[in-house]
Amino acid sequence: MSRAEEFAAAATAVGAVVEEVATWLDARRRIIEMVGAAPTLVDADPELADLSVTPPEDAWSAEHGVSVALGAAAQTGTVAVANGAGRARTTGVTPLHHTVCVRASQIHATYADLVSAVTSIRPLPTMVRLTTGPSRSGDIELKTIYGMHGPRSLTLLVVAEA
Amino acid sequence: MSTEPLSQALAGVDAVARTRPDFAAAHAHRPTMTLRESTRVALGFPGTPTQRDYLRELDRPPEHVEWTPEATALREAGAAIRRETLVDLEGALTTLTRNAEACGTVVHRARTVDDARRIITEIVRAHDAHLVTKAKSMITEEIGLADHLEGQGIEVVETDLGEYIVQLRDESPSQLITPALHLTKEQVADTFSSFGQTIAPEPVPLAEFARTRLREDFRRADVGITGVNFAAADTGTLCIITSEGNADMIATHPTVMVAVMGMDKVIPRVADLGVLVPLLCHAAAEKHLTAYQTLLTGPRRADEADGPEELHLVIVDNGRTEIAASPMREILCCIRCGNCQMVCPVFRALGGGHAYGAVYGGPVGGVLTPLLTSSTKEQKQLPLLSTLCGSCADACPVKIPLPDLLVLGRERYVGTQTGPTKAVESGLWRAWSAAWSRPRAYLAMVHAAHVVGRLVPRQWLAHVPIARLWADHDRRRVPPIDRAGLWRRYAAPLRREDSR
Repeated sequence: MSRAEEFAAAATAVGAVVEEVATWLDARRRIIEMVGAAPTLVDADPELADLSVTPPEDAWSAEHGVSVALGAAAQTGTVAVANGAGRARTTGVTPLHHTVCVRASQIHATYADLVSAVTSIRPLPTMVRLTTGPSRSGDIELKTIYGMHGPRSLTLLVVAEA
Repeated sequence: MSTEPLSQALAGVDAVARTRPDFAAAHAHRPTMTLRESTRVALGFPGTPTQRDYLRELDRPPEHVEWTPEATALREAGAAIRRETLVDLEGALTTLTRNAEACGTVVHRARTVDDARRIITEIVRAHDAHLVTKAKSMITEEIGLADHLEGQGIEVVETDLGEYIVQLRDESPSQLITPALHLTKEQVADTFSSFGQTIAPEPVPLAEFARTRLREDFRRADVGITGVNFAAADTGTLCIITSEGNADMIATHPTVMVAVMGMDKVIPRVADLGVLVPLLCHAAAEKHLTAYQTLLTGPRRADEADGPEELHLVIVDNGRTEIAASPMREILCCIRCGNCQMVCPVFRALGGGHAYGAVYGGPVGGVLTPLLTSSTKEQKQLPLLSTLCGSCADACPVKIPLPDLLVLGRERYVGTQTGPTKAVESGLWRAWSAAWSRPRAYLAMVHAAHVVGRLVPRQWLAHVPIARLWADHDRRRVPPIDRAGLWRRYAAPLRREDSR
């Protein structure tokens, strides 16, 4: 199993939807297809710069959030997203749907490798969020429900192009 | 305090029926009960047998925690990391403080529960905040924060689903990571339906109802409070772990965020999270990692659109400095996974943590609670609430010798007792110990017990203290030992020990 396949299997097992795309152009097309005219927050990233979506009135009215991962872990299906200028914390937590683009070349083998990679950045971003599957809760009779406070759906676009 | 609550999630809470028994009440509203009383009430409570069977089921495949070779490697690594900071806890905290301050976090040290409450109240007051959103955290339970703030006219909303449910019911959490483990979906539906609209007793509509009600509070609150799962000394980074995303909402929307931690939460390096996070999730019987591990290093920077303008870290002692210098120090390695509770036969028999009358129940609570400066007279007896069966030691992901520490705790408890009862008791124990150390004396006692058991009518025995318990029990009907079961259960780990 390739690393991207292992990542896809692990992330799917925990409730994420994983799709593979060849290029960033394909990734942008796919995102437009998914979000349509819904209010969408997009993190600042050169690869997503010309993505034309409907901006939300405020963070609370956004239905979709789109981010680019710092890296991922094949073992656990985890993606790491950092905040910063133009990359709000809210993108990955307040909207009902979150889409994260992951470069296939940035999928690490283990969770520990991913943690080492993202925490060796200096200065550290004020927030690095490691996300494994959509928001969920098992607090009622240990039955998992999705979309507790964060996104109900998590789509991971694995981009083959570097 | 205004009559109209600011919180949308708590509006109408007075309509929620208070059906809970006293022993399960929220800590601030729990009447004083001795341990003997609360355990007796818990054992006799109608819901307890169902809860006991349920907890026992959870300790079986596929839910139970297994120490596979991979998990064992994580466990060894995690146990070593947690002991690194114990050597010089104050040194580790100094490094943490320096690095957290360097990135703009305001660090406060609280020696006592009162100090912690005062510091946090002042932060909330300084921003004239009247509504606080809160994520689940054991340390805020330990310092009784929510109740204290409410007493100051500040509304506190628990945003973790389980915590929100128990808050509405005015109950205390019954387990470390699953606060409403003791409630059925029907009970939750009853609680939520008290607000006027009937909610179906299924997890999805129930969670949706809570999401909608809590969302408005996330939006309105000026101050958010969370716990800390791990604080990395080398970078000053705070790691907060949730699956619901409520801590992320708090780290995103309010202007001020207060993170509260016990001194023991410090870890040497941020990279250690690569071991500790998977270990914690495994020990908490999660099949996968939790949805979110949020690493916070300072408040929002000038070029950032959201996040708190002020990030406060409150480090609470409440007896931990003393614990670190005592033979009980390894209890500070605890990562709060709840596994020792789930495997504990006493915890299960009591139907969960309520009967302990303490924030920390089960084996970890038996050790930790009496050592906290804030512990009450009743809580000092908690080390006695154990069979010393050793399951908790096998279950602990960081290899805390819980049974040994429980014995040490008993020794301490007995050491504080005085008076004639104590003298008689220790005399009897010494005699018993002497007799059972000699084969002849031991056999003589067993024979004597047989004779007494046969000749003395049970009704008489029932009048003699100690022997009363013996009389209650039908001693001739000892259940047969399931040898195959024992072998399956114990031989495999023994063989593994041998080959090491």
